This record gives sequence, C-alpha cells and structure tokens, in this order.
Amino acid sequence: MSPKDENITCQQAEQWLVDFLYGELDPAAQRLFQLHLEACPQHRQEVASLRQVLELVRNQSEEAPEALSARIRNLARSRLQEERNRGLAWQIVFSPWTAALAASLGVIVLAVALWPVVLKRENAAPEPTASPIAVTTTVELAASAPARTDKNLEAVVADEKTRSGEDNLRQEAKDEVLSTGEAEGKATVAGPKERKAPAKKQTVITKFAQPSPSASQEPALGGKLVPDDTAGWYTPPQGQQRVASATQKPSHKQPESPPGMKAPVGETPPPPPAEQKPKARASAYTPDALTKEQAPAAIPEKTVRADTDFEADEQEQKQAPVAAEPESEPRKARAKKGASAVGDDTEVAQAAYVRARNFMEAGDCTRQIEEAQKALALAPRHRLAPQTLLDQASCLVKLQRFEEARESYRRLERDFPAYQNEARAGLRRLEGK
Amino acid sequence: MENLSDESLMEMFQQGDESAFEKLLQRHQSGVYRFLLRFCANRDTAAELCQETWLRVVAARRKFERRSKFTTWLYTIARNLCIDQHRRSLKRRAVSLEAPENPGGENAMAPIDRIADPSQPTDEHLDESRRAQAVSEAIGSLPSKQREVLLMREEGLPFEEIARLVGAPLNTVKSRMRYALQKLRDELRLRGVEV
Repeated sequence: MSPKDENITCQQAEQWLVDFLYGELDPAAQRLFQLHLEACPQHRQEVASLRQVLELVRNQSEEAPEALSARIRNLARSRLQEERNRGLAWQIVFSPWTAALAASLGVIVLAVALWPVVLKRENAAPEPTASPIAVTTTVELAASAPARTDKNLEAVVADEKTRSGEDNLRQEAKDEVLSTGEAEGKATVAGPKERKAPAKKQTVITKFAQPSPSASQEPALGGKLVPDDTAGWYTPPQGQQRVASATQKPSHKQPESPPGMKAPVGETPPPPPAEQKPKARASAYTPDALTKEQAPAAIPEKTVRADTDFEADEQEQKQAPVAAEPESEPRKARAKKGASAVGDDTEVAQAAYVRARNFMEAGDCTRQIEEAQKALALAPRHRLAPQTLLDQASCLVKLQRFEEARESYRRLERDFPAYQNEARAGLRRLEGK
Repeated sequence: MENLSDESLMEMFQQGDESAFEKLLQRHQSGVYRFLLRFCANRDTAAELCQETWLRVVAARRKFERRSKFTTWLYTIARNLCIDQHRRSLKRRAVSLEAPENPGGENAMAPIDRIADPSQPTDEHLDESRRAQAVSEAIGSLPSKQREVLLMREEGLPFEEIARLVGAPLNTVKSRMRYALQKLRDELRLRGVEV
C-alpha cells in the first residue's frame, strides 16, 4: 500500500479514505495521506464530515437489554439440556445390543411381510413367455431341495383353505386324470425317490389333485424340464409322463401309504415337501394343464397385481386381449384352475373386475355384467367394486333390464356411501322406466 | 477465561463447557444486538433475531471450525437472519402512512404525522433524541449492502472479515463503506443534522 512517490492524487486519496478514517493505513501511507489533506481542501472537508458522521453513529450505541441476555441464557441452557437428553436416547438406540435386536426384528418383520409374496410366487405359474432356461433352473432347484419344512405345511394348509370354493373344478380335474386309465399299475414304475415319498406327500396330492402330471415331480424322477417344440412347456422324458400321473393316483385310493402316515379324512392336510413347492408353478404349465393357445387366457388372472391402479390393470389386460375373449367351458374351467393355483379370491376378483371394465369399454354389456357379477360375488368390497357397480348398472340400463339396474344402484348406495350421489342420480334417471 | 480468544472459548463450548458460551455471549451480545437493531430499526425484531442468532450458535456449535474467526461466523448467522427477515418484511410490506414507523420506539410517529406536522423541529431545535432518530433513519435509508458493511465495521469486524462474510472483494467492501458514509452524511443533512 505504500506509495512510490511523495505526492498522491485525489483519486488515490479517495481509495485510501476509508482506511485512513479507520486508521488502517500503514505509517508511510498515513503520512502521504496527511500531506495530501494539507494540500487538498476538498478532501480535508470530506474527511472532517465523515468523521462527524462516524461519531454520530458511534454515539448511538445501545446495549442489549438485560432481559434479553437472561432469556438467551435460559433458552441456550434448555436447548443444551434437550440435546443431552436426545444424545442419551440415541446412545441407547445405537448400542450394539439394541442394534442387534433391531436387526433381528427387522429380519422377522421382513420375513413375515414377504412370506405371502413368496408363497404366491411359489404357487403361481411362470409366465408362458419366460425363457426355458429360467424355468429349468426353478425346477432343478426344486429337485435339489432337501426336505419339506413346517412353514411349507402351514402355507399349504392356508392355501388349501383359500381354494375351498373350487373343489368342483378340482374334482373335474381329478376325473380327467383318472379317465386316462393309465395311472394305476404304473405307479410301481416310480423310482426310489417316489417310493421314499411318505404318505404325507400323497395326502397333499389328494388334496391338491392336479389335473395333469406335475412338472415339479419330474426332476425328482430324473426328468428334465425343457421347452417342447411348441410352447416351451415342460416335457417329461419318455415313459415318465405316466409315472408322473401315477403319483397322483394315491390321491384317490392311497393304496401305497405306509400305515400310520395316512392323513385321516377331514384332517388338515400335511404340507407338500419342499421340493414340491414349485410344483404349482410348473404344474399349471404342464401339457395337460394348458395348451399353447389356452395358456394366455389364464395368465392375466394370475399376473394381476393387487396394488396397481385401475388404469395399470387395464393396460395389463389390454396387453393380453385373449383374456377378454369368450371361452369355452373347459377352457374357463382350466383358467379357473390356473387362478386357483395362484391364490386367493381377491386376485381372481380383481381380474374379473378388470375384465368387466374392459368389456364395458368394448361395449359388450352382457359380458360386463357376467364378469361384474363374478367379481362382486368374490370380493364385494373391493376397491374396484363401486365403479364396476356403476358400469354394471349402465349396462343393465342399455339392455333395458331396469329392475336389475335399480338393484345395482341401490347396492352401490348401500355399500359405498361415497358413491351415494352417483347412485341416486342413476336411480333418478331410472324413475318411470 | 478472560484472556482466551473467541475461538478458544468456542472450542471449549464445543467440548461442553457452558461457561465458555456465557463468556462469548457476554462479549458479543451487545454488538450483535446493535447490529441487528440498526439493521432492522425495530427493537422487538432485533431482540428476536438476536435471540435466534445465539440459539443457532448453540445448535450449530459443532460446525464451527477454528480456521474461521468466531465473529465472522457469528455475524454471518446474524446477517442471514436479517436477510430472511428483510425478505419476509418485503412480502408483507403494505406500510400504512398512519402506522407508526417504529411501534416499539419511544418516538413512534406515523409518517403522515411527520410530513404534516409543521412543528417538526428545525436544525436548531434538534435535541439529542431527535438526532439519534435521524441517525437511525439515515442508517435505515442506506442500501442494505452498504448498511451491513458499515454496521459490521462499526462492531469491530475488520474489512477482510467483512469481505469474507459478505462474499465480496475487499476493495468492493471498502467502496461500499465509502459510499455508505457519504450517503449517510447526505441523509443526515437532509434530516437537518449539521455534518
């Protein structure tokens, strides 16, 4: 900051002015500034007036009120105390024991939360478009599974309960199996693994009598899951398809169950062995269960996500338009069987709701009504129920089935108060008809 | 403890010594309060912001690093609070000419009264309190960038620190200071103060 020469210009003095006022110039610059002030009356006056201004500002000094100081002290103390308390709490929270406990609880909660999903996946059939490699892996893993577990047992029992409404369909399937007339007598062909299967397994088969050879059983018999030349479904090795069917024969007669291992009729069925877990998945795709062209009809019912919005569900349905096509009676039955393999009524109902919506949009009132009735019977309080009731009522009006339409609106009004206005408007429109 | 620097006291406070905080409060509370009062021109707001400033010091004490000066950190907090307050006041600014400019002040007077009152004191009659009022108003009339530099410098912060605090070059800060003093002089003259 030291100037090079003895005289400074007014411009330089302007720049040094503030430093001079605050005494922050180094001694040499201070001396030069003083010399300039002696020579420059303008700056002399400027410095004098600004000093006065600073003096006025400094005279205005005001101390903080004592009450404010006390308040700040008290608040600061209380904040510090709060922090200490919080810190103590966190120390407890983050102690190793607490962490271990929390981790254990987390694992348990996760397991409980994910169990239905796992169960559902195990019961659900794989996508028909899934790569053969993936399917093979699943079954191979199942084949290598060592033994059943008690959890499997519980899950299967629970699953069994959900399927109680579809016994007739299963009975049909059993009849189909029996009608082959080949099961009996072939069971003896089963290898040692089949022999080892205890009566519990057979009881399960009794309860879950599959309409076709179970693919998951094939690896246990030395079979291999490979895509066949048409649909990628499991094709058991030659000579073993019948054996697979034969394993289901005891479901009716149970002739080979060792004494004492037979599950009494009416008792809760024992669980399927662990290696059977993916059976449901594979069995829905066995050649008997679904043919190449039939399979897509059943898929949407199985793959509908329970947590999606209506729009998302509709989109999913539109991607598989076959689902909305009319089905012959056996196909419907098979589709239902597929759905029963997936799981509970809610999912079946949701699929029906979505189909009802699709039919509504397609203008097919008759089928909308059919699907709506099916869905409403299975899950009358489903989130899609109000809209479906409205659609159903509209369809009934179109078909001039006014009394039924009135009943739909009344049901909507009664069961879904949030839709009272729509229901009442509909009823008003129907007045005089 | 008397001879300890602010930064040392702050370190002690970080380690849990509450008396160090008391000492810091004692040293700087009035400076912060004055800065806030001159900035906001309202005692209640200044007290509120002062309290908040110190509570933030408590809350954020672990973030303080010895590399920076405590006063820089302290006035940064105070300044940020002033800026927030200024923004809030801009949002709800609908100044009534009939509302007193400084409701908490002793000489609360609505702008309309001051304009219309023929008995407003002239230069000769300016007493000490009127002069203080004029200084306060003159400071309030400064652009906030100039005002903050002036007020912080008057609270003893070196220009280098102020430059760091406001994020401006040192020469810019000094220019702001010069303009602030010159404008303050002009404003005081306008209010009848002889300078």
